[in-house]
Amino acid sequence: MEQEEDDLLNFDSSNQPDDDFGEVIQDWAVVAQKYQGKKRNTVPKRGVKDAEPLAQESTTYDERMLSEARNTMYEALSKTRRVPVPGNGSMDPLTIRYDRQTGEFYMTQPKGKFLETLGKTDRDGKTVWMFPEEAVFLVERGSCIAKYSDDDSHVLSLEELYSMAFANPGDYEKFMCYSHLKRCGYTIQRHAEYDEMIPLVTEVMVPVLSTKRFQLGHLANYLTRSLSWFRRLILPLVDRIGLFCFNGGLSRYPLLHPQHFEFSRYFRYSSMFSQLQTVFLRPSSHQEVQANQQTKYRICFNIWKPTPGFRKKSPPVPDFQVCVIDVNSTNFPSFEEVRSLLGRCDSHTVKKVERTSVATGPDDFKLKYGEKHILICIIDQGVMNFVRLNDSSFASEGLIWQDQWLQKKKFAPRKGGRKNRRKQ
Amino acid sequence: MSLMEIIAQNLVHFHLWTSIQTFPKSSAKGTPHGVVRGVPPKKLSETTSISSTGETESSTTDKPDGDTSEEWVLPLSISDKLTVENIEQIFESIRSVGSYRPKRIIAGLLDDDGSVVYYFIHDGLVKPRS
Amino acid sequence: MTTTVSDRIRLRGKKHQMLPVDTVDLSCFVPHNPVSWAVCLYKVYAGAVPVLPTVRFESGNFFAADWASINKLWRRGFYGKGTLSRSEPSWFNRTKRRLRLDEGTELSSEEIIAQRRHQREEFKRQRQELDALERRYKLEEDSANLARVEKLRHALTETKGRHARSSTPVEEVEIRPEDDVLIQEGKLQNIEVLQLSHTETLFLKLIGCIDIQSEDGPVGLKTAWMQILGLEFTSEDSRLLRFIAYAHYRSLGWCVRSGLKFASDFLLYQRGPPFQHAKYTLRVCGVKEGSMSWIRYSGINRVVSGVKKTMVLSYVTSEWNENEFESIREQMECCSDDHEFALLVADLVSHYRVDEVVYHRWVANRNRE
Repeated sequence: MEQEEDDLLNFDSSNQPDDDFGEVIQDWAVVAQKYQGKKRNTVPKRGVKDAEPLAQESTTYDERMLSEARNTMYEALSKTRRVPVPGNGSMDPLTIRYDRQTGEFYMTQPKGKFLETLGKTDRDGKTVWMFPEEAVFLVERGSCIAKYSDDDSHVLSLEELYSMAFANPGDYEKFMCYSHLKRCGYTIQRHAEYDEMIPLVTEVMVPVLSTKRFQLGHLANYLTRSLSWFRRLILPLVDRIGLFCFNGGLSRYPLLHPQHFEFSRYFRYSSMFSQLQTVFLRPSSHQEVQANQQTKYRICFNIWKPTPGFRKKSPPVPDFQVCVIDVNSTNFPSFEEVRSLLGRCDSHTVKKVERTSVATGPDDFKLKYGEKHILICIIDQGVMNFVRLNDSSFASEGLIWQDQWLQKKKFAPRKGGRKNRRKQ
Repeated sequence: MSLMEIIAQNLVHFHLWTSIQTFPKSSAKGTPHGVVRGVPPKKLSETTSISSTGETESSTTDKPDGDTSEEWVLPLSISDKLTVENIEQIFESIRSVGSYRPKRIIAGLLDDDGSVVYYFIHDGLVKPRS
Repeated sequence: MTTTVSDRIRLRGKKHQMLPVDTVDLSCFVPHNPVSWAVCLYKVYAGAVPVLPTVRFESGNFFAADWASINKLWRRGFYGKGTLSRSEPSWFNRTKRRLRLDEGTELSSEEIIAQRRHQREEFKRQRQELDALERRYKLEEDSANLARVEKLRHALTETKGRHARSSTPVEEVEIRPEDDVLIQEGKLQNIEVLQLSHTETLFLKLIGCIDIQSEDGPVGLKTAWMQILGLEFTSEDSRLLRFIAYAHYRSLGWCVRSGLKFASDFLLYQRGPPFQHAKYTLRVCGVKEGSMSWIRYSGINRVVSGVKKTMVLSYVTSEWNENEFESIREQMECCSDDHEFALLVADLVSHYRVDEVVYHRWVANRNRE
């Protein structure tokens, strides 16, 4: 069941084994084919575990397959990397200019579908300004060529572009993240924190478990369930009076006294739990998190799933926000850092599919995916991985135990109580 | 009951091992709580070790009589810490009480709720299980 | 970890509660029958008969050994663990059946798992045969047969798990000398106990739900606390933080059990192990301790997501300043009354907050739509 839910929601769909990284091993034969126009041998595929260390009994068959595939890779790599320039012939290739004085990338006479989501267009529509990662991405995938703004004869090589675009430490890692997500089809733009200040103070909502609402919710449940009006009135009353007389004001043995349970009268387990919660649950409140200006965890990019009609001038709230870090110099963020990040980000978790069946337990989606989330792109010497962190609050789901579990007859699924509480 | 005895009892009555023999840490020097020898009801999975020259050999023991079903269990508490050096000492210690150096031992980790989890520790590289 | 459907249905039939104490049952109440009023009044007056489960304390371990206490602790909140079972103490019945001392009891989850294991072994054996064939054809450079083997392999993988439920082969009854010792006059002696973890013991003792007995007589809350945490703890003591997290989730009604097998501190069950799998694993993190390396987190996540659970980082934040903390710790040290001690613990706990952050692996290709 859980599996189906995941599929519907497209989050980490768990029917796929998690060790398939969602990425495919590079098949060099495809690349080699581009140059030679003929299909080459590929490494026989079955599972990742098929490749074991070459051992004594390994066959010439295995070795031949392996060396052929390896040669294909070398061959593909040995070719000069040509950037296929569009508009060969009659049309001029699309050109990005690099201004050596200001270090800016721009494009005059802007053309190309990619500009729908990329770059910043001047008011007159004649110039599009680009961030370095945008310019390099376009050149790398062969959509444009790049030239100096004051030299029309020289087409910049990728090496030249890289050295100019990624001058600061961390720039290249951010570009890796950018181009990976771009190639996956996402729309992606710089976030203000990429190179600006971080807002000083963020207010973080700490969800509260309100005992009062909790009790009323249960009372309401009880009311809807009871059959006769008399029962409806009397039983909760008895329960309340009993709770007061025996466990509260009049009891000789208050909660946490060793004899408390021996001399107390509880009619329902939920009453016991609400007593325990007075001891073990902290009422929380709004809290301010000071942002550390020197933090390594800056939100670098806003990310949108592919959406038709995306307008780069007035983009909607991003679906994801990512913070790019280098594993070897940056640890897992502390709790304060995570809270600050979640407080600063504005991408909300969207629940795609409303539950069709009436919820009888806690809202697992909310517990699992929270209300706000942040992606962290961790880069370990060129290997990229994404981690999604989100808030969650088990306390705000209230009591998980349901007294009706003890009753023999079947009840209509509970409704009302919990949901209403959440809205308040 | 000592930690070793708890593990031994767990092996005999939960996992149905037989021929259990315990060696307290006074005789098995270098082990944190002693070591247990026994025979599982069914032979545990065989592993193929890979020697430094890249050759594989399929065996679990160097035991003189060639009996491969015997296993060594190292009782550990959840708070114990092991270094690679400790593990080497433990292998050697088993050599001294058992007269051969096993290809692998099993760490039996006891939690404070009485549950025991078992992990293989191999002496060197082995082929991954498929 | 895994209980089968039939197993779960069997256990579901029994009443499960969440705390090992009784409530007053007013279900006999009939509004138009004054006699039932009187019965109810009497019930309220007399109360539930309070028989707290007895927990024994020996050589650092807390456990229940008599069936009444074991049943109470297990069925009312799934506290503790059978020392010779996966969770519910089932060694006695299992062993009786194995030794043919008793027929006809239902299969325990351990036995069902053994059946499944048997099926899996059969699958592995067939796969090995194919491996051998493949090696032979490779040596013979026989690509036609290689293709055939590949097809067979696909067929095998597809039927995996769809095998008809083959029962375990009937084995000869074998009474080992180890078993023989336990049989007296044809009756099996129970050697299994239900052991409580330290956090469980502290929690249950603090709220007054268990009696602890040692050889030297009853063990009070303070003695238990000293055995488990000592009195030299700091405000960031990991055992203290674990206890606080445990009590937090328990008082929210979750069934909290050890997560050792999944590289975690705790598992959260909505009702309990017989009803459904735990959906969440908790890792209790102190706020002041430095975070672990990325590799550790992703390693734990691998284990946790491999069993389709959600990895929750549970941050326990202390709001004590060191002086105040020191003073309450000293009060606890001097305190001689158990109730007072419990109130001090409550005060101690009230200065901690528990917050959650959820960790997921994110893959760009799977989140596009």
